[in-house]
Amino acid sequence: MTTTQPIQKGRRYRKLIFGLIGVGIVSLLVGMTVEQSLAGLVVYAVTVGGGVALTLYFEHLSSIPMQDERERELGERASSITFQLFGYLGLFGFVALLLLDATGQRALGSTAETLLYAYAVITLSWGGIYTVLRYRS
Amino acid sequence: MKNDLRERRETDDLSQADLAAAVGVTRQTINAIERERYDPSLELAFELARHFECRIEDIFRPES
Repeated sequence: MTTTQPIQKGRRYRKLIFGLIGVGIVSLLVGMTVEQSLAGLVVYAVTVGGGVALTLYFEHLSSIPMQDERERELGERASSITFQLFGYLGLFGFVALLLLDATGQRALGSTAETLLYAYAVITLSWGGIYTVLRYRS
Repeated sequence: MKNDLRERRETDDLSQADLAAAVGVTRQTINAIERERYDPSLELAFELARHFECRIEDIFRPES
């Protein structure tokens, strides 16, 4: 008889959490499409909230590991590549939009302005977190 | 990093899943190490060395 190892259990829970978050996102999008935004939002809040709660539980309170070191490294690499991709796209994209705005060829819309502020906040947050980690290492 | 993990595992008649369970990682991680696509952490390297009752450098060696 084979016994289920903790890492295998953890991976199952991880898939469940990803599934919950996926259901939440799809519900939100479907809700917006069929003009049932509130219902979609409720399902999103419940499933994503549940997913986050389960993640926090397994990360901090449970002895069951949700992933091993290789999977953690893959996740970190994926985050790094995503951050770099959007970082460079944002950098060149926003500079281009600001130039167009400054030369009067195209006005910077409110959505682009909000995204620009969000981009600045994320970049500054990264710098702050990096500085803290650097001083603590 | 080069390694002879596959040979050691097969000598001990272990499956990748058996070895993975013994050292607390997934079968895919053992497979990735054997195919030299993933270099394990020091902690896992020590765990593997302990399992095969040898030193880390008996299993792993630098590319050059």
